[in-house]
Parts: sequence; structure tokens; C-alpha cells
Amino acid sequence: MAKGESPLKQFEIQPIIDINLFGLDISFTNSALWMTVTTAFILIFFTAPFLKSKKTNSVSDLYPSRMQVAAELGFSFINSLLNDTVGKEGKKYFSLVFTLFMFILFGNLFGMIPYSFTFTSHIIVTLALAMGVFIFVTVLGFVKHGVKFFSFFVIPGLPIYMLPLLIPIEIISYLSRPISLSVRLFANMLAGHTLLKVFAGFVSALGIYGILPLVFIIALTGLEILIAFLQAYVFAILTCLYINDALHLH
Amino acid sequence: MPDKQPKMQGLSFAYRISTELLGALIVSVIIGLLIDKMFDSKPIGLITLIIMGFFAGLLNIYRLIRRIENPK
Repeated sequence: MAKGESPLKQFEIQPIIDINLFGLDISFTNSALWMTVTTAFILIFFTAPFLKSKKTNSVSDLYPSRMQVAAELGFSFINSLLNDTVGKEGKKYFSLVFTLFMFILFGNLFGMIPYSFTFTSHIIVTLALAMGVFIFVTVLGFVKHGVKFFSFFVIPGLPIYMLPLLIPIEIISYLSRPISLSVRLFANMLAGHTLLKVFAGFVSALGIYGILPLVFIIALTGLEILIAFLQAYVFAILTCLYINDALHLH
Repeated sequence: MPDKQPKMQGLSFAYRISTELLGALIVSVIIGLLIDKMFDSKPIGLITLIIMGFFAGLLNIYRLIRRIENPK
């Protein structure tokens, strides 16, 4: 890190191609670039192993390639997650959970590459994803249950005089879902990357003793990769739980 | 990764508990400020909603812990 450079500089959004549409600034930024890279990578990751095995016709085609096993591992991971939390009805929503999981996972992992940009460290991105899930789940609840969906806010077996107090609390609890979902992902990525840069600054500042923070950074990088995976997992499992709540009230 | 599931679940609960309270409080502060703006009742709406938001956050955490104790 050069002198006088803030550890927060990595989160700055820089336009790459300036686009101005009717006074709206929709420039292609570095954030958008890394989202495109992530999406393109996921597409290649999941189509390439299957395209290749079609062309040749040898014995080795009978065995799945390493890439195919890796792709299927991610596939079965989300499949079992949905099966455990939602049950058999969850199959329909596989594509939603899988897309979210992969997008966040690879977004986080690509953010670990030096000089790249972590788009999940911006609250607007994570809030948009969380709001998408929230609106989808609410609409799903209304489609499945109609007006009965409102009974979700009433705890069964509660004395009637407690209702005016507890229904607003339940509604706040319901509305807090997208906020806590987005803040969790955003805060973890922001804090982790800032911490890495702060300790990277110590390496050059301490001279020969810089070896100590350097060792720490190596350990921290491992932890960051774990967190990158964990946060994607938490986002996916919460999406499953919310779908489950919308399908089976209480 | 089926064998990794329980370990991951424990860690994910740890990350969730910290933000459940925060999320409920943020939402209640926003609603409280909106109510104050609409009815011009400066601090009362905010104070009431913060207290309710705190209880909503506790309710979230309570539900989470109940799920840890008996995962269905």
C-alpha cells in the first residue's frame, strides 16, 4: 500500500465507460465489471465440463471430469440444503437459491484476488439482493395462502389481549429480515477487507519486523476465504428458511 | 459436503445472532422516524418503536436459539 492511501480506497467505485442516459448516470463501473466477470465465470464453470464431454467419444468420457465433479458438488450441496430446510416442495425454488449462492460465493471469492473489486462490500448490492428475496417470499406467501398469510403475524395460542402488543413486534421482526440479511454480508466483507489492508500497511511501515503482520495477513486471508464461503452459505440457508416460512405458515 | 454441514451450521448461527438484533433496531428506528414525521409527534414515536424493535430483535434471537436446540 502506497503512503497516504486509505485502506478504504479499495471500495471506491470508478466508472470505466461513461454512459449517460436521459440524465441518469448508468456508467459501466468497476463494480459492474466484476459482476460481469463473476456471472461469466459461473456460466463457463457450469457449462464447459458438459460441453467438452459431448465432442469426443473415448472411454474416459464414462468418468466425470474434475470440473464436472466440482460443478456437481455445488449442485448437490444446494440441493441437500433445500431438501433439509424446505422439503420436497423446495425443488421448485432450486434455481433461485442456487443462483444467489453462486453469485455471492464467487463475488466474495473474486474479491479476494489482489487488485480486484468486491462488489458484495457495497450495501446497495447486498440490499438489492436481500430485497429481491424478501419481495419474492412475501409474494409467494400471498399467492399460496391469500389473505390467510396475515395469520403469520399472529402467534397461535396467545391470549387476545396480548395481540395489539405482539402483532407490531412480529411485523418489525418480519421487516427486519432483508436488513439483517444484507447488513450481515456487507459488514463482513467490508470489515474483512479493511482489516487486510490495514495490516498490509503495517508490513511496510515496520520494516524488518513487518514479518509479523505478514504472517498474520496469511492467516487472515485463509479466514477471509472461509467467511466468503460462510456468508454465501448463510444467505442461501436463510433464503431457504424464508421460503419454508412462506410455504408453511408457522 | 454433507459431513461439513454441522460445523458450518454452528458458525453460521454465530454470524446470524449478531445481526438479528441490529436489523430489527434499524427497521424500528426508520419506522419510528417516519411516524414522527407523519404525526408530528417528535420523540414519542421513535422511543416507542425503539423499545418495540429491541423486543423484536430479542424475539428473533429467541427463535434462532430455539432452532439450534432442536433443529426440526
